[in-house]
Amino acid sequence: MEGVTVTHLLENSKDSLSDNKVIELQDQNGLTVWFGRYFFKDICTTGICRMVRLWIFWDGTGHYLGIQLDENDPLTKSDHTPFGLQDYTRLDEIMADTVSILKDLRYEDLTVEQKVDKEEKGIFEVDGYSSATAPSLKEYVVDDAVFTCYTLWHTVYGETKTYIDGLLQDRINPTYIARLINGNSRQQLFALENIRYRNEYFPEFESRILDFITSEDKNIAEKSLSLITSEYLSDPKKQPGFVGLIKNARPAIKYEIIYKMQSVDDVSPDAIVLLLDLFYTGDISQGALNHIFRIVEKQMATDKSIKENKPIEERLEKLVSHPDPYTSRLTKNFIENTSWLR
Amino acid sequence: MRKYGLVLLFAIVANMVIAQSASLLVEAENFSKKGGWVVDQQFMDLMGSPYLMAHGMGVPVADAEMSVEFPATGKYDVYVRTFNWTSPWYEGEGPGKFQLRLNGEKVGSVLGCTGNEWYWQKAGKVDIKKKENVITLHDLTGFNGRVDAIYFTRDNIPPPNESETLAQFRKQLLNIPGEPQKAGEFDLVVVGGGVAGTTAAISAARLGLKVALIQDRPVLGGNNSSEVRVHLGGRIKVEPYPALGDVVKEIGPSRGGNAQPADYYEDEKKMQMVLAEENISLFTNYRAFAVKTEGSSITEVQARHIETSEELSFTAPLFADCTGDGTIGFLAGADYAMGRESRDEFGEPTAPETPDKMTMGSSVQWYSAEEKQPVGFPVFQYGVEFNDESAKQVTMGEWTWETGMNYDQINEFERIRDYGLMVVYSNWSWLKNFSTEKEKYANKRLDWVAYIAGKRESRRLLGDHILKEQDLTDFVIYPDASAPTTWTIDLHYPDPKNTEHFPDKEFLSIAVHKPIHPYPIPYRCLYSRNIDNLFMAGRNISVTHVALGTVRVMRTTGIMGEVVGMAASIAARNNTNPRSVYNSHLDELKKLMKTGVGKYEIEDMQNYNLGGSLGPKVDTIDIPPYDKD
Repeated sequence: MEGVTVTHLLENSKDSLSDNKVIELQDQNGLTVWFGRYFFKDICTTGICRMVRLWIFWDGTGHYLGIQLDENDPLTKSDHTPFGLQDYTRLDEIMADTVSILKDLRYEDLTVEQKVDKEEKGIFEVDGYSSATAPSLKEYVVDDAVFTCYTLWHTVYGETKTYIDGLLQDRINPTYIARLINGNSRQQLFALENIRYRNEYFPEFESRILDFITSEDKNIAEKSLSLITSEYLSDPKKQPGFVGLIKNARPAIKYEIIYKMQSVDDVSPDAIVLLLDLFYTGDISQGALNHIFRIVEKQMATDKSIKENKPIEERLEKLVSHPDPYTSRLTKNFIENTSWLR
Repeated sequence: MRKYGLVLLFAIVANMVIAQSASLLVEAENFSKKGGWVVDQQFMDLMGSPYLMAHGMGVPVADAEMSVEFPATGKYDVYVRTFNWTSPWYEGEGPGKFQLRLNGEKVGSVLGCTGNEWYWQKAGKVDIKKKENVITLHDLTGFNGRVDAIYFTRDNIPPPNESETLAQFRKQLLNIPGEPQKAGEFDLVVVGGGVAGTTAAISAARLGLKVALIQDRPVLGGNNSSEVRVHLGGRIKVEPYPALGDVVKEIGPSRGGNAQPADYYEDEKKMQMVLAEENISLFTNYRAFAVKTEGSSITEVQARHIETSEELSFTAPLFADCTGDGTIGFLAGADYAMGRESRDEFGEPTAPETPDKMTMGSSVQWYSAEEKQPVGFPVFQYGVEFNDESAKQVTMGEWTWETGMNYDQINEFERIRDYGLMVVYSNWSWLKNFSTEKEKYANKRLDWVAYIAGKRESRRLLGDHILKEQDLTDFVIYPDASAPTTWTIDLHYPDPKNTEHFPDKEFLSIAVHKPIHPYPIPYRCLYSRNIDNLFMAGRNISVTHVALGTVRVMRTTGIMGEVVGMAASIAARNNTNPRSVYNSHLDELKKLMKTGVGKYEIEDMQNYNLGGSLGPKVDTIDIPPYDKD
């Protein structure tokens, strides 16, 4: 990919064996395509160590991107056989797991020593003991490569990542966020994540955030929705716009929008009317109707006058005679429980 | 309807007795105002009655109250049926203290803190000066004091305590008719309104059957109700019958999570979905207690209201036991198993070498809430001692808070549930009052503790096929392949770390999983092998202990219910029994399972707690034809 490379010096690196330069590739908009660092790593198994040389890359949001090895210098397992394609795929998954079980383990937790028969003793065993991967770890690592996985995971999430995260954080300002928000989905998520920690940016990006709530991309939709606070929704003018997003949102997001409205202390009659209308138009299914009634019931507890609201009453009357029996039944039950209609 | 008993005992024996023996029996669950006391019916088959319990989680609950009319003025001795629920673990006075009040005045001693089994505790004497009086149950501790009944007598003779005699005594004093009233005639009577029973009733009703659904609680959903708060588990819409699960989708909560706030479980959705079915007559708060049989068929189920004691009888050609405990089958004499089979019995690799009575346990889940100010909690030490090492430093407890694996989940169930309460309170008391880290808990308030225990296992009624481990692991597909089970073989055992601190008194469990491919359960597991007209759905179907490990989760039991409803419709239409559906109408059942009985276009929100099992074993499951020979 074309772009500009920038070199950063990682000063006082604890990893004195590895290159202390962090290379960054930026695109024409100044957004990072990747960061990379060349590592020399000792990977030790039962006292025997082997030097591994490789590039590790992170994307423009600081997430693990990949590993690059010299063709002639593959990763190997504890019996010195090289990694196969499946092993690399698995390794990639393990490296991408930010909350891997490896995170909180110590080197000595990785294996259990097993006594073996002298005849079965292999080249790596010492004094009749071998180190086998602790059984509880097997599903989290590449077979027979627990030390490699452990060492690389802690390299991926070690000082270099901290350094990269720092670089990125120093760049955060509205202009940079605006660039990110027009970038790819990873960058958009990164932008949203940063807005989350900087409330003051929210108004500037409000309309984009609301648009994102109806995104086909589940992660972006969920992340955007998470930025909508009770405080934001406490403004009655904002509520109908937010509720209206239901029309184009993914099914799970429709429910999340309704749950958000359930947490609001003062829901406007307009928003309630809109919810009921969205039910009637089929944009909200029967599965969520009880949740809408919960919103109304909660509102009734603080605002008795809502029972005088004609548009809501009209819609409830319509729902009582709805052709589907569940809707009709649920509405009748709501009306009875809340003594709504006189 | 208010109901209390008033008789002149032994009236026909001698006039001299009449004057002394005018008595009044008041059932606690019959109180018109229950205040903060809850109705607990879980053990009525064991101790004879539903009862009221002061489940205040350490805070005294509001008074229960009722106006009663005495037969005459004068002096009465008062007995209250209660007991000290901590007595299995603690010899001293128990925590469940309460008082009886008459017209606002205390009556005698503090009650509920003595006795190691249900008994008539002498409360004191009262002088009744007018016929109309108000009696009150006044809780003193919030720690589950309990009251079955109150008896006022001129004889100073307590009522009988032996179960059968007491049952007769109650009937007599409460004027309960000898024979229950007829609730009506139905095509299918479903007993148990958990997820399986609810889907069975809906499925059958949508296929045209007139259904009675009997549930012993005010809400539907069983373990998935707001009373127990276990989320649905397993998968719906799975091959070979992806239409199965449509009803589960309709009634299932849209959010997952164990021990979450009550709203998560959407009781109202289940209830209104049932009430929207014209063909279902719903009987909530009725608990089945007896059956009548003719030959090897059930002709009638009798059920008692858990608050009014009213009794109803239900007749139908077909019945479905969705009670969880296999109660209907048991009462009718159905074959059943309980506990773990030996490895030899079915050749199951996971079974123990010798059979035993161990089952999975019952969970009493709980959680706390954060307050702005420090909140106290009473010291609670009743025989299960905690220290900083053994205490669980947690602010909520979900399924792992599981008790009673080595006790009888039917006959010792009250003790099992009570031990669940005991350890929650004891642990919390330690954290709040003695822990070196008690500051962390200072503002925490115990907000919810289940008093309806979530049971995993008890009786398993035996059908024409008993599902075993190898059926699942070897993927043995039978001609009557039906409801797919998708969860791992998930068996629970006492947590060894918990055993270190509480040997033989464990209250935490571990789960051991064996993954399986989604597997269609044979239909023959869903009806009794020796009661001709009895279906089963839920955890009481025909499986071994090991196989129960996978089928017991509630999306799967819900799918079973759908299949049972379908099979019942075929049996009814052909005027035959569940076995004949297998023998002669299997194609009809397959057709219905293909079509499903979904009614509403509801999006699938059942994507939580799917379980980490294996993917499909094959692209298309080849169901072998049924060869009658």
